[in-house]
Amino acid sequence: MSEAVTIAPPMRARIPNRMGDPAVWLFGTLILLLILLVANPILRLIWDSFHTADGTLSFSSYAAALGRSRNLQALLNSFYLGVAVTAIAIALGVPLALAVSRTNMPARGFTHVSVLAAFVMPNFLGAIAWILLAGPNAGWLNRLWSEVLGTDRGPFNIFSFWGLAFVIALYTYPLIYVFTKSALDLVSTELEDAASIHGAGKLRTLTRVTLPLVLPSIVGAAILIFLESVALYGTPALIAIPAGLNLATTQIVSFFEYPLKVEQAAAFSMPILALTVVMLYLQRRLLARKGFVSVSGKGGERRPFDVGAWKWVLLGYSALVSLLTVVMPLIILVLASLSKAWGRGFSAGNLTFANFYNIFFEQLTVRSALVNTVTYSAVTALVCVAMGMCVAYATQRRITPFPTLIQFLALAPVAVPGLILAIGLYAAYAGPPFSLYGTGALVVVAFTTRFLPIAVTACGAGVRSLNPELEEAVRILGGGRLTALGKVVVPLLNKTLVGAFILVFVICTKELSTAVFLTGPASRVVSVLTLDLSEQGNYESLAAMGVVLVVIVTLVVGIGMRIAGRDFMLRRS
Amino acid sequence: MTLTRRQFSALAASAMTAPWAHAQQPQPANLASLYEAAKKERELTWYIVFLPSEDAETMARAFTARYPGVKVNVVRTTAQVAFQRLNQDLKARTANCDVFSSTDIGHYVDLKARKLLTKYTPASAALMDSRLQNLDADGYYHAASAFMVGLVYNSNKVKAAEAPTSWMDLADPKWRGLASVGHPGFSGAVGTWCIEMRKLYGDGWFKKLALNKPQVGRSIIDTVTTVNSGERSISAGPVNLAALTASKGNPLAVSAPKEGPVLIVSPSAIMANAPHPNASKLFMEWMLVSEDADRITTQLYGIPRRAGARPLPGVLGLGDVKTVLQPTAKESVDQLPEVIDLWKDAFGV
Amino acid sequence: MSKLELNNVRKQYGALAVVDDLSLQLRKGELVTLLGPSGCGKTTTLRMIAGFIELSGGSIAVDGRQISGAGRTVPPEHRGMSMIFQSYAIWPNMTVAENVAFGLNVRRVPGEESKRRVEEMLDVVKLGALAQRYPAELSGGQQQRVALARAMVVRPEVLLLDEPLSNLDANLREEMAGEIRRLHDEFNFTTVYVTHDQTEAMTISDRIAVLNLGKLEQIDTPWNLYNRPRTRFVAGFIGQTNLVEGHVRDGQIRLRGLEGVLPMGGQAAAASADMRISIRPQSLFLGPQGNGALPMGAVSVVARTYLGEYWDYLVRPTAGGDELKVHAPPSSVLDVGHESLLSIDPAGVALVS
Repeated sequence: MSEAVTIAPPMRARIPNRMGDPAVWLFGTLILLLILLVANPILRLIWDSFHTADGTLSFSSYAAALGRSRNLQALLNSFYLGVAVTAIAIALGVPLALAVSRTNMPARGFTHVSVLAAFVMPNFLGAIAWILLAGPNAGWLNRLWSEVLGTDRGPFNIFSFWGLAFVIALYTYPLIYVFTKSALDLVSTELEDAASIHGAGKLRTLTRVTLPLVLPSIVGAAILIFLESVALYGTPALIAIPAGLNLATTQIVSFFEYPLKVEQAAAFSMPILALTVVMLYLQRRLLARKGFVSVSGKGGERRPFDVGAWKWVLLGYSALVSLLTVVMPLIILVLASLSKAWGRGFSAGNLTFANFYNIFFEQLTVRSALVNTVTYSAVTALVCVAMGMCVAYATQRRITPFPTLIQFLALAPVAVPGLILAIGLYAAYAGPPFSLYGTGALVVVAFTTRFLPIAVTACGAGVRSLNPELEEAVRILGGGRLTALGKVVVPLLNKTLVGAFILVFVICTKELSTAVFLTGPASRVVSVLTLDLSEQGNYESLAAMGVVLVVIVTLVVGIGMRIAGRDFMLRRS
Repeated sequence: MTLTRRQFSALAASAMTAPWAHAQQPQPANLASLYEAAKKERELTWYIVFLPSEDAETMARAFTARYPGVKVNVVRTTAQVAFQRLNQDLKARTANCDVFSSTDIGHYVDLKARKLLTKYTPASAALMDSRLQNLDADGYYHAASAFMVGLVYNSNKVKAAEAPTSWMDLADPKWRGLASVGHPGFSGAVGTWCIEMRKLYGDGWFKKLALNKPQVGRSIIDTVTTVNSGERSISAGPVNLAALTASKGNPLAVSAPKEGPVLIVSPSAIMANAPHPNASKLFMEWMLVSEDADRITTQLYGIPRRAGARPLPGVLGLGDVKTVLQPTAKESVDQLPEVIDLWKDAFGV
Repeated sequence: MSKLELNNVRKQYGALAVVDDLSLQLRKGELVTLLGPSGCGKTTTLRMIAGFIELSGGSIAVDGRQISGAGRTVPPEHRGMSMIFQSYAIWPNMTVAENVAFGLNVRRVPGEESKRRVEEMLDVVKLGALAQRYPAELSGGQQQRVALARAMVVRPEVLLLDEPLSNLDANLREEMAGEIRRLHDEFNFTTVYVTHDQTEAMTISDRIAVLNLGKLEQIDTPWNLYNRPRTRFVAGFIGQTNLVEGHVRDGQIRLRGLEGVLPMGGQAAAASADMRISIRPQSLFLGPQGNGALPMGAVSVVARTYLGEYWDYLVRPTAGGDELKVHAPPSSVLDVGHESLLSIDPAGVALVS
């Protein structure tokens, strides 16, 4: 069917200039948003630290905040805590990562799930559970011990420095696991075979050959855990105060007591911010060195390495970790939630569903907190994924000018601890002209700012995995960038996007440090309410609320695993 | 003095069924118009400290049952947190709080000086026990609750004969590692108690207390929980809550210290910028001395405020104890920050 | 006026000129191939025509209207062209029919007409039965056809193909090359085709532009390129050839070590000079004289390889001189060291610069 070639006239019609391209407007707005979300609070924070309450430029806030020895001791305590937590987390995460990635330990799938469960469990809920378990006199473990062994009291005291470090490590170790396992997955078995041929025993091979190869990844994760422990608020509030420990975060919160000393809080935060930036820079340098292992995707053949009898030891260890992080805390939470008075112990007369009834139908604060948590987390996840996708696409495909700068802006919040970011956001948006204080919008803004980097990284990885020719094919046929984004990129990346959504959702439900100043009476979330309720010792309602939250989050994660694959949450971005 | 559980319940049952001393007064005419105005506003937000959230919600529900169409949003926190959030609201110029019910009278002195309170004396205030009236001569805030802080102990772990009898026992080496207290930096009631302890024993008392390694919670309610669970054996805690918890079958008992219990009077006030002024006024009328409020208070082993009303048997009423420790308003305002500082220096946090 | 015109197009990355001073004119309906080894700049040129890469210098015009040049580059979506990518770039989330209809949808062609045109085009590429399949279910060759259909259904101003056959195996490649030519003949789109495979280029092109290191070596018909290469590179790149030094005098070419002479045959040269000569191995014969070849002299076999379809002999004149490659039929079996008469067919001889 020959025909004269007729050119479709619209293609020859006026060619719009750069300003008429909707893609430019969209991405321009994006940049503006990023600046508002990220640059403004952080700049405001720094600005505030150099001013007094009435606006005069001075160093007095620094003097007041850092001048007292008690405040400096708080910084020091947090530093020690960070080191302790990192050490414990490494002890928990590295052997498990080794076991699952490299060895023939049985039930590796179970271990993997157990790590996932520890990741999903909010830190503060774990702390509550461990208070119930290991309170020096009334903790069930102690009571069991003293009953069985006939001693006066049990040996466990959760209200101590090591108790605090232990609890924090229990719920942050998944990060070490993920980083270590990702790196280990890329190491070819041939390296271990070579060691075996030369006579190295199984354990020696693992520790002297395999492990050193992934040392940069471990150190990288360790830095992140250190920073997270220093910046954590929830668990310290629950455990450190009774333990008599002043930490940086509890100190910062005390600056928010009346009279409000936001400027001093800002000044106090500066050393922490500086420390974070320096350590993140170190971490980036470390992980950029690819000399140890080829990190190009395919790492060569991988066979499980037979460790002989050690596999039972590893399995036992894995079971122990699972017990400590997930099994025991969940059991005690469920029991407490079903008790009339948890102190009375587990007996037929003490069982009731009244607590659940209570939180759903009587204590409206709990019900609204649950609703708020789910709502804010879902909205945040949606906004993060949408913005993250646009930022990732714009920077990877160089649609906007200064792509490196925009990427930096989008990832910058990683360097700011949640509590400190909250101060900055509070300073920037709580009062006039935005007056967002007490609204859900402020919470969503805070969470979005904090977790946007996760979405950007995940979407960025997704965009990188796409062949650019797929989008070029759209463009050459007449579709603009937005058409390419909407018709091809997003549908092809839907698994990535769903995975990112659920990841952000889960992390939002666990978030406490960022929310603690920014929630007003109408916008309280479960994490903050946990703190409030724990002050009253109302552990039964608290446990019920915690159980409901865990159920909701587990359901969402389960859906995510169906849609986006088993590993979507524990992949290193 | 202590009462066993059986005695509690028996006497409680009889007290519950006893007819009220005074007949219920009919609703005065202006209350009806206040109710109409309140209905238009539909709800109010109540920052409440002196009740646990469950009980606060019970109060809220009872109010709405009495005045349908007006909802109460309960925000329960410790005193310092409540005050902090109130100030955050004010700094952000968002009006969230309608009625502010805290345990720290110093807050009210401060708020009144900053002209942030509404001057309003409910008609029902006249029905209050005379000892509770005129908390503020100008009528900006009124006593909404009174409870005693005494010595609470675990009856399983501590025999009645060995029970503590003096505030000094908390610092006695015999009870090292076995006591529990709140934190004045969070709890207004604990702050008041600290001021009285300082008056009794001087500045050095805090260090002595710290040396005895008590468990430090945040709220004074914590002290009851820790003793109840057996985590600690004795504490300085609210008598009414201890009695209520004991009535549920928990191993708690109360002892009045020989120096006298500390009386915590919790004021309530309406904020000047309250978004729901009429609902707030109605709520104040109801909360101070209404039948409902008193009934709930009594059920919770508290001290009802109506003149002549009796608390449940076994609970120390206003007239029952010879000495009651109570700081003046001025002492509360001046000494609280000092006491918090002494505490932080002694305990480190 | 030419349909597509490239004027002194230059693309520079830092100090490196990937495309240097390239000028081309394509007539309407012509199929021109950009041929060259990897790194010669052919793909860069194609992408500049498409609008994905901006020019460092020069200009590109369609129908006389400039679309790429100093200051202004019309984005790809507004050029009215079509492209077939090396990876086909068929969208996996759409069916074959949806893929093909995409360009029509962007141009807001009404539904009925769009459906009709898609069906027609799918029949033309013989994929009518697979319209509702997804790309994952198709073979490489079928995906190739979908790409073709998608590109052609929108009747582009210029059709661009970027090494479309490189991912196919050898047999399929031949078949698809023929298909592409057939389709071109049917629709007559102005086409720019990029490949490194000269067999492909020879099969389908009207003209071939040979590129090397960013520069245009020669643009000519396949016959001329093979038989009348003008540069050393073209001679060496197109087909196999022997490049030897020879002396030209009085219209005759002499080779070192051989007594015979070859006529220059109309090829321009200076009166007397040493020149480079290109001689196709198929134009060299060993053994008794015949086939219109001119006898040149005695050579001996230095090495030999049997390649199935022909013998590849390396011979050297007994009197000394350059080695020459000879392609001989399978029946002509000669041992190493064997001496023989060498004859050359002047049709396979060209003077190159």
